[in-house]
Amino acid sequence: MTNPGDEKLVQNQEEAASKAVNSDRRSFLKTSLLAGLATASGALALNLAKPGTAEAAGHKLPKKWDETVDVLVIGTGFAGCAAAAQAATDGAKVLIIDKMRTYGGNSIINGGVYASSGDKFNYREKFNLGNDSVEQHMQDFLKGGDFYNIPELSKVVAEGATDSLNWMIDEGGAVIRPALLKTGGHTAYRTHPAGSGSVYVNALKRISEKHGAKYKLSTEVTWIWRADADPASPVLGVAIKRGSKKENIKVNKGIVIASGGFSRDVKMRAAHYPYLAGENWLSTNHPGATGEMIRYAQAVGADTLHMNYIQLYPYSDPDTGILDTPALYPFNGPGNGIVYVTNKGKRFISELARRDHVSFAQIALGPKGKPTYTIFSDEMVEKLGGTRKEVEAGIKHGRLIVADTIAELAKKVGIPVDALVETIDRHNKFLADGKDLEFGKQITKAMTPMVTGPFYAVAQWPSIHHCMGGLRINEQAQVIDIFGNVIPKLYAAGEVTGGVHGANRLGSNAIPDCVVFGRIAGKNVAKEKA
Amino acid sequence: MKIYPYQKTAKKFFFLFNIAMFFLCSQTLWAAPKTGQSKAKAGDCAACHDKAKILPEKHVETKSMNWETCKTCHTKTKYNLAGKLPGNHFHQLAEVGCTDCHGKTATPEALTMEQCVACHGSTAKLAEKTKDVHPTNPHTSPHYGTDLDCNLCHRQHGKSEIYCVQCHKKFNFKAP
Repeated sequence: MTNPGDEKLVQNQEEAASKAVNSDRRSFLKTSLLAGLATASGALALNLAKPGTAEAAGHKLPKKWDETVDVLVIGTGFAGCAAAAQAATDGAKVLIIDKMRTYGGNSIINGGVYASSGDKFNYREKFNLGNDSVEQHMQDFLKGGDFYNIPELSKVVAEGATDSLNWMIDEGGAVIRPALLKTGGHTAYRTHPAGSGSVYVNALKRISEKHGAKYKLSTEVTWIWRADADPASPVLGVAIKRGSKKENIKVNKGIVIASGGFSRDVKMRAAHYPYLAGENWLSTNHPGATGEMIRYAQAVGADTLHMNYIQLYPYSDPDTGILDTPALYPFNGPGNGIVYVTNKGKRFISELARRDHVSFAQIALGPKGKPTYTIFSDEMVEKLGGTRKEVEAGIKHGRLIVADTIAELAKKVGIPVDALVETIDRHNKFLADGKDLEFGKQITKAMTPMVTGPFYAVAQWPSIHHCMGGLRINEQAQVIDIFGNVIPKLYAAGEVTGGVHGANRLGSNAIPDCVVFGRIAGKNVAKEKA
Repeated sequence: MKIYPYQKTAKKFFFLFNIAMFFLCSQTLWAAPKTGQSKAKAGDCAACHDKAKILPEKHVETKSMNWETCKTCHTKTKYNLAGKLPGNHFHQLAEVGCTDCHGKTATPEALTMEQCVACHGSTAKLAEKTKDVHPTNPHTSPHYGTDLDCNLCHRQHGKSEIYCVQCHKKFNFKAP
């Protein structure tokens, strides 16, 4: 036990150390700045990029600005649209930009699953799916992330998830499906399906546009303007490129970076997680999922964390790596009794295992193990948040294989018939007995034994999906610099940030992360003094 | 070459689009014209492309042709032109000129999708017409419904593309 005097001493020492660091840094920056001024006319922008790279070349602060806005949001996915919606609702003049030709980024091609311990329809109670709480969700967050999470950040999401879900339904007209799922790594039925992430993106976009936010596509940020790294020095604006036009946008209140992850940035993957280097890895992401916004933020002092934690989605289309609708069913279905099998017809892991575990269990099967399959029955379709229309489309595209019996299904897919029949029979018995003797999966009453056909198989294999790491933020979505100070007027939310999910994100925790922190960023940036 | 049902619809579609891009295009074009586009004239390749070889060697003289005469040889099943010409050429051949879409202006601007829809009809109706196209209906998606901008695929001053194929590698149809 320490006495109060000791604590005071420690505190004093910390303060002294912090002052020394700040003073050293300031004098270093001052020297650099003076050196810069000696050689160039006009103020120089802060520039921590490697000398000689294009990003470092000749960055003088703009003398005049082509456009001035209150709030600039970078990225039009869940986090960006949520920030724009909240900031515009709170009265700020918002410009939201995207470098791509379409809005929505990865969010609009996302599977639309949203983890929340509650919802306005009380589906969990209605469907009699057991208990849940914010605290339980929070604990799953931390355990699923191997406790690498910044707990304060995970807590913000677990606490804010339900309110943000209801807000998108009430204010934005989001329509979620009447089902509730238990998915990999979650200890409760809390995953709300909507069919596609577009349901939420469009709801958020509607809210933002109702309050006057303006969207501009094909508009790429090429630099963030900040005069120096003094803790009191705010970001001033950004340089952008629109076609061949280059312009500077000034911000009165601030910038929200919501540019998503870097799964398609081959160089960054190689830099942070060499195992995932190279062009040959497939990805669920759209081609714009690259990391330049992280680098620009770093160049004005932002800190990053967890950059090496990159998640594979275990159930992607094995041929293309994409997360199409059929690729969603294996993730959505464990709480309803679906079974994962190898191409030899054997189970290989608990269906309620987390994404990283399922992915590496597949990779451990070796190249000949590709693909594995999810087997489910017709009775489960609506329960796991699917629709007949989706199933028909899946069959039409050759992604779902259908048969009246398990034996026939095995034959059609090319799995040894006896092995698959035995595996499904055995799993049915586990469900009846309430005990999974093979992988210790927690059995629930909502799991349906596969007795009545037709039955379906969908092929699956891991592909690169989500970056857990990114910019360091605090609970107010403010970006933190490498010395631990807030960078004034710079906010970030969503996949571009790190720390919320730790080493591994539980599926369906991403949308609440993006929307909750997007709204916090929007709310706080709108409050900034112009 | 296999002709998909949506290409029937596409034929009508060509007309509207033509105009939009004639002015806009300049660099990065696929067979970019060498001379000013103010002389643009249906069927008269040299009006824009000068002496550059544009058509296949044994192609008949096109100078006096319009879209109707093109169609005597280019049918849905034979010598189909889908994806072979920038959309503005189809518009020109169907007598929809630059100014019909861009207006009489020295600084023509990119069109909005509303202008396409004004002539070609609603995209919801279009999606209904193309519902049986293989491998999938190109005019609706779980992501954007029927709201996606026509110009993402149907380029007027450049080569058309299938926007969706950047992720959906199996959606390998041709965009007119």
